[in-house]
Order: sequence, then structure tokens, then C-alpha cells
Amino acid sequence: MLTTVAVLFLGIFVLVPLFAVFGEALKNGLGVFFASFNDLAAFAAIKLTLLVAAISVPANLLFGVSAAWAIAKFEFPGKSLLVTLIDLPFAVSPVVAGLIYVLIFGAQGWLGPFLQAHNIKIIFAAPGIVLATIFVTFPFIARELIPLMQAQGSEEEQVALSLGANGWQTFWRVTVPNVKWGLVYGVILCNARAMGEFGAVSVVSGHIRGLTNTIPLQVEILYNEYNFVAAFAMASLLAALALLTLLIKSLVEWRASARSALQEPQVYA
Amino acid sequence: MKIEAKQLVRTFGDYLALDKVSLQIEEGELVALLGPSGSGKTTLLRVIAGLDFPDSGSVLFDDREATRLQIQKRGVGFVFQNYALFRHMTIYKNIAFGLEVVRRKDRLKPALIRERVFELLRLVQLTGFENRLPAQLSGGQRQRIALARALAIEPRILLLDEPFGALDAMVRKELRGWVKQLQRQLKITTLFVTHDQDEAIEIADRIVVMNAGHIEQIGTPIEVCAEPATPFVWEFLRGHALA
Repeated sequence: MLTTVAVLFLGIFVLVPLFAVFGEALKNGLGVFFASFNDLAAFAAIKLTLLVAAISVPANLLFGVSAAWAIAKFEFPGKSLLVTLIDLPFAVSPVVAGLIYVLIFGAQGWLGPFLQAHNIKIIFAAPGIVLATIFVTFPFIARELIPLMQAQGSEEEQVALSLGANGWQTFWRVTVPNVKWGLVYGVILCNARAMGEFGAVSVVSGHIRGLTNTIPLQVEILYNEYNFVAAFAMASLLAALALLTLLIKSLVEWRASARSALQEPQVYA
Repeated sequence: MKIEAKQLVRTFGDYLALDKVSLQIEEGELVALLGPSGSGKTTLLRVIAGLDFPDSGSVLFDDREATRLQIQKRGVGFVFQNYALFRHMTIYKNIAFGLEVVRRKDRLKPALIRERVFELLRLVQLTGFENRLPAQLSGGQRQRIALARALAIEPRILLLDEPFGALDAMVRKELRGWVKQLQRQLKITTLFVTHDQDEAIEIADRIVVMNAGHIEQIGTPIEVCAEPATPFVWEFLRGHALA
């Protein structure tokens, strides 16, 4: 009974819309579908989205790993504050996140006059979009790693040090391999969100066609112009990304569980 | 190597874990740090290892100051109660770790590392286990691999934290005798923490009885059993004697 409810619910709210996206995109045939991408604005949106992900995912990888490492392996004052701050983007609406950046870097913002005087563009330009995306996606990797690292403790690291390894060797040879799958999973989720983020990016982007539109913003513009096939064609890119993400995620989980099955205590003696 | 601790003090907030602890351990001795939980014995072991640092007092290795020396430079083999084997590495890689992280110019040739690992596997009687993962071994086997890994770097002292604590009674008794024999064979200065009176009496050359952050008595098993220095020692060792 419960299974039926779950399957029905999932079908109505997830599968049908997903098929609808591809259905609408392909309504007028493959030719029209591909023609939608043969457009400067579409091309620019894809390029910008890839650029934003290419900057924000590595930035959050660096931040997430160091934050998780610090939180899980060390005691320091302000630790609980840091943990709370990491969760902030989950708690606050992305639109608010975008507005914060407008407030700081916008023409009327705190740093506005300074930035204008030096001819630096952040809001209504790519840097603002990158900043907003980093903000929205920074919990993903840290959140994935913290419980994992906490569960593993730091004894293996202490042993590595006692065996003569330096901090760098300990990190790369002991800590990272132990959280490898969690790390891959975190990066996948972070990337999916970085490419798909709408709210925060919408506030700071300014929607300049061909310049500051990412794929989700481009979808909205096309849709509002009743250009449904092109809108759904762009949307199908994001939907395909979601499917790919889920596929990689299942692969990672399958690998990780195969690995942990092997790590179940087995007594041979 | 000779180990000396002088007036070690270590506090955790308001809690006094080590209260002016002094002791001397001679070259080649097998010494037990015996006491109830919370007596400071593990803290003392960690301070000697360089995993923790005292608020005041000093640690000397062969009469040389070592209090602030980093753990990497101390040449100690440390074995944790739960062994802390590198879970993603094979047994071979676990044992070879200490040899492979050495700076390139001082590192042994791969063939020599290989030879040394197999020699250690023979020493701990686990030849043929080199390709297993730690999880595929029993508790006693993991314990022996942890020892082999610690011995790979030819440490000057061996520090064992509750080495038999996580094992069932049968294996524990068997491993005790084996560790004592191994220590005799290698003549390596060894310090181990235990809360088990019989274990300390059975294998240690000398026993350091600890309570509430200070040392109650240091002596051979016969001395601490026959002539307890304080009421605590008498109470703690009552009913336990050399078999």
C-alpha cells in the first residue's frame, strides 16, 4: 500500500514532468530541437553556465574539504558557529542570498562607489553570478564529508604521523582515500546545483541576453516569450544533467557499498 | 632507548590528568602503566609518544630533551587499542607505509621495502596475508599487523595503548605471551597501558601503578604484589598475584 502511494507520488510529481520536458522539447522533431541550440544567446548561456560551474565547484571543493577537515579532526573555538554558518545557505532563500550580494557590490551598495571608480563589474556580470552560486552551493561538499570524517576519527592520521609521514602525505594518503566516495558524491551534487541554480543568480544577473544569462535564466526568458520548444530544449539540458547526476550517484553508491561489504569484519582465524 | 619523564603536568580544562609525574624506563625494559580508567595512564603514553604535550615538565630520550619534539622525529612505534589500520590499504601497504613516506633520498629501494615487509609478516606469523584488507582479518591478526607496521620504521621505543583490550579472552592470553616473547627477541624498550592487573603482572618487567593522575608505586610485579606502597595499590592488586 505504502509502496503504491510512493510510486504513484513519484510518478506524478517527478517522472511525468521529466518526460514532459523531453516531450515538449522534441514536439516538432529533432531538427527543431537541435536548431534551438544553434543560437548565439543559447550558446552564450551554456558557456556561462559551464564557466560558473567550473569556478564554483573547485572553490567549494577546496572550502568544503578544509572546513570538513577542520571540523571533524580538530577542536577550536568558534567551531559550532562554523557548522551553523555552513548550513546557512540551506536555511536562507536563494533570492535573499542574491540580494545580499547586490547590497554589497551593487551600484547603491557598500562597495558600489569604489567598484565603479575602478571600473570593476560584479553585479549584472559574471563575477556576481559566480559569487552567488558559490554561496548557494557551499554546504554540499562540506555536509557530505563532515559526518564521514567524524565517524572515522583521527587515529589513522595519528598513526601516519607516528610513522614519519608529514601533514601533506597524511592528508593525501590517509584522509582523502578514506572519504573518496563521499567526496565524489559531494562534487556531483554541488555541480548539479551550481548549474541549475535560479533564484540567487536571477537577482544578480540582470538578464542580459547573450551576456549574463545562465541556462536556467535563458529557459525562463524563452518561456515567457512563448518560445516553448526552445525553452524546453534548453530545459532538457538541465534535465539530462540531472539524470546523469543520478546515474553517477548510483554508480558511486554501488561502488561504495561493494567496498564496505568487503570491509565487514570477517574472521578467518 | 632510555625514557625519562620529569614532573609532567597535563590538564584538560579543570581536570588534572597528570599531576607531576616522574619516571624512568631503562633500555630494553617492558613496562606496564597500570591503573583504573581516568588514572592518566593513556595521557602519559600519549605525551611520551608526542601525540599530546604537557603543560609543564619534560620528557627525555637517552638524556636528550624531547618534550617538544614532533612525533615524526621521535622514532616511536605507537599501536592504538583499535589498531587504526589504514582501512583502504592492503596489509602490504599498511606495513610498507612508514618506509614509503621517507624522503626520496633516504628511502629504501622498492625491492628492499618488499623484503622488509615480508620479513615483518614472517615475524608476526601472517605470511600470505599481504593482499588482504584490514577488514578481512580477525582482531588478533589486526593487532599483529599493527605491531608489524609500527616495527617497520625500526622505532627506538614501542608504545602500546591497551594492546589486548579489544580482544576476546582466549586470544588475549595467547597474544600476551607472544608479545612478551617478541619484545625479548627485539630487545626494544616497550611501554604498554593496561587496566588489567593480571596482564601487567604476567608480562611486565616493571609495573607503574597509577591513580588519579599520579604514580602510586613503581616496581617489579613481585614488589607491587608483595609490598604495596599505598592503600590504593594494595586494594587495586588484591587477589591478583603471580601465577
